[in-house]
Amino acid sequence: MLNNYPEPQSPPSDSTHGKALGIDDFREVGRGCFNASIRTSQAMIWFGDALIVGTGRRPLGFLGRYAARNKFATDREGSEIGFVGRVEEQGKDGAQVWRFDPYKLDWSLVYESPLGVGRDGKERARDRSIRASTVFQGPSDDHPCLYLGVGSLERQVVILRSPDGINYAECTEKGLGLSGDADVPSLRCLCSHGGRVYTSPTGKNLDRGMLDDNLTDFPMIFATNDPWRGHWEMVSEPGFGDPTNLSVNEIASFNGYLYAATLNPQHGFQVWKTDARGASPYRWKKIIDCGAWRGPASSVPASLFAYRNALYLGSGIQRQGRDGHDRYGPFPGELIRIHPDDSWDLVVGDTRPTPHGLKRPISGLAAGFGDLFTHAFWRMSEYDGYLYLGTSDWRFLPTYLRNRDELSPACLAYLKSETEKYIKGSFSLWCSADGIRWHPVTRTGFGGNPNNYGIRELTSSPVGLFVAPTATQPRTGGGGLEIWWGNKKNVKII
Amino acid sequence: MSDPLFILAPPRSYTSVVCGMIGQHPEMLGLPEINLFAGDDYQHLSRWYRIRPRFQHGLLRAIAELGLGEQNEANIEAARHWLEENPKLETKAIYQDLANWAAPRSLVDKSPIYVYDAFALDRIDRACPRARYLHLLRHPRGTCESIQALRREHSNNTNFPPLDPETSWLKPHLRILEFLETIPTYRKIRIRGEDLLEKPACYLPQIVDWLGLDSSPASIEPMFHPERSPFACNGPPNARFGNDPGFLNEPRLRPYRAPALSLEGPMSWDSRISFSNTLKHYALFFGYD
Repeated sequence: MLNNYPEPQSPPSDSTHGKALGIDDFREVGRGCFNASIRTSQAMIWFGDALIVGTGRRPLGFLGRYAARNKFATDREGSEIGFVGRVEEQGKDGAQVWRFDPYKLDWSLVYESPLGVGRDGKERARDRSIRASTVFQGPSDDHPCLYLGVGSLERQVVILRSPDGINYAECTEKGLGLSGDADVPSLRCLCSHGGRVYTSPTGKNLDRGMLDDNLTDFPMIFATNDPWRGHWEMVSEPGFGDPTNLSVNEIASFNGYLYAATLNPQHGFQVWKTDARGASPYRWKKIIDCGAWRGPASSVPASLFAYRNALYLGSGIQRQGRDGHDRYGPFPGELIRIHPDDSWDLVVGDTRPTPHGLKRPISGLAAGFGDLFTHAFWRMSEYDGYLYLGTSDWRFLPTYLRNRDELSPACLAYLKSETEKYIKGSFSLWCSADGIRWHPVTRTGFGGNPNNYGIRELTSSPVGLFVAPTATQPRTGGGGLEIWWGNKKNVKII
Repeated sequence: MSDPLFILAPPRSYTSVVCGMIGQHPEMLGLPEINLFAGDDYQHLSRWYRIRPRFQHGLLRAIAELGLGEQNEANIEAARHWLEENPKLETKAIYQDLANWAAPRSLVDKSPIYVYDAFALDRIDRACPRARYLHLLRHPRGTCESIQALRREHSNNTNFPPLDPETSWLKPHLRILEFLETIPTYRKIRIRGEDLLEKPACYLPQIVDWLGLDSSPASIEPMFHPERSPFACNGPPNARFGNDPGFLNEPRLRPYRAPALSLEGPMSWDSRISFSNTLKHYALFFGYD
């Protein structure tokens, strides 16, 4: 049963839209232009006839430790591959925003983190990652503008506004207007809905570096109708009244309602819904509980995307590195879809009874598309009528092999042997013409870069589908962010 | 004829009543604890009988009821003779006989011994390659307290070693989890016994749907009457048991509300024993706080 997914095949065809993208339709268009610390993009958006790529660097260190050291970097085999540089130099490489003009095949740097004095008195980049993006027009905007949430290494989040994708300015309020000592280092997402912008904080900084990327002291939703001026207000209770909801991981607008999905390591993710009307806080209704009744194995709602009159949610589990759920498992991600009437289907996952009836995977595919080691269904996007879903792999960092005394020797040996089969750089991109029947575009990643382990961003555009794999290492460690562009050969770029 | 069903759970996990309910569906037949796959053949199986003679009662009652038409002392003895005269009879062949006698109804087997035997689940898989598996859960504190109460009630030996939750709850469930990893998703489901007993009207039809059985009200209604099973009462004097004693005493389905239990704190019978972090993690994954 394990690894029972179908083999790659020629791209599926849909009578309305023609062929979906195949792996041969993709080419790499960006690497090397980003600074040496960049390893991911969590905010890639089409705006102003160009691809805007908000990038992120690796953290300075977990639990407040300063990780970058004066040393030679090594690859996975331990071979030296280059001088990392001094702490101070690397610390100056912060988040950037790049603009890719596909018509001229031209990359340009449009925003770079300012330098500032860190709490330790040393000069370094202020921004770690561009993590949220949306296009919105408020009362302070002459036309629809691009807004980006910019996460800080040790200070509060700022929001950038750009009228054209080229020029950027910081919005008035930092940290969503919370008090100066509130730990609001980043935003999970920005979502435009009904004349307002919605967001939720994420991350915890512990003076220096990073305590946690996905949790927050403020697991609630904020809204404003004028992000340029700020005036953010809370429109939900903390955790929707449930203290086991540790962050709002995804927000989406669908069918006239606002949906929010929470990270809940104790019981599994939840999905809440509101018509976003009336006084704050809005009236919210819980429509999915307990990780779609799978439990903590689906604790993170990793992706949320509306496609063909349904809202698709891909799940995963948080990498906590120490003693979290990822020390068990592996637990492959699942995909569900929610209908406007709040009923839902299990699309990819494991058959189970629920309070809403028996759920069988309507795709016929088990969790992880049948691959036990699929860590998360990380990103989705629609291009040319097809729904694309990018995954991340768990085997590059097999936390599930640590201290598993409870497993039988045979089971542990199986997990180890399957992990050893892992081809570095592998992850999957799947597509579907109806959300039910799924086809692999690739199960071995893009280009064979051994540092990449998942698809962190997928962006649809008039000129194709852009894919941003995320890397374990920045360029100084042999990795770095790549951008792949998929379009059909018969699409002419002017 | 439907695929056979095996309910996998440690003892005191509501297996008797759940087997009784599912076995009352017109297309299914709930067996007592036949414990067949704890051995390769009857002779192999007999090693358990030397330790716990009652382990044989369920099989003897099943043969008497299904093969000989009635559970009485003579038929129980006839069943015993048949088995003893064929010590090399493979347990999968005995199971096939039971299935043939029960046809067109399909068998439901809930023998808890399977989760303690290192090879039982593989024997089931080899003997019944199309079998379906229902992984039945109960809160670890409820399970352990119940096992401890049963030990007190039915054992004259007060010096038995303290009940260990790792052995009684965690290891059986880990064995089940590892085994079910090899089973296709459509042939297995997991359900909390507390949910099923609190809301049988919600969950029984789902089990029926999953098994591919007739889900008309006429087929569902009998499932609310596990007491109608021929094995929901004490057997003849020479095979009185073969099921959970509590179920045999009161097999009717009663309104149920799951007690509020915690993963924290010591066991009632020994303040030095509490759940390990690993056990608590698995309990959490099963939906227990």
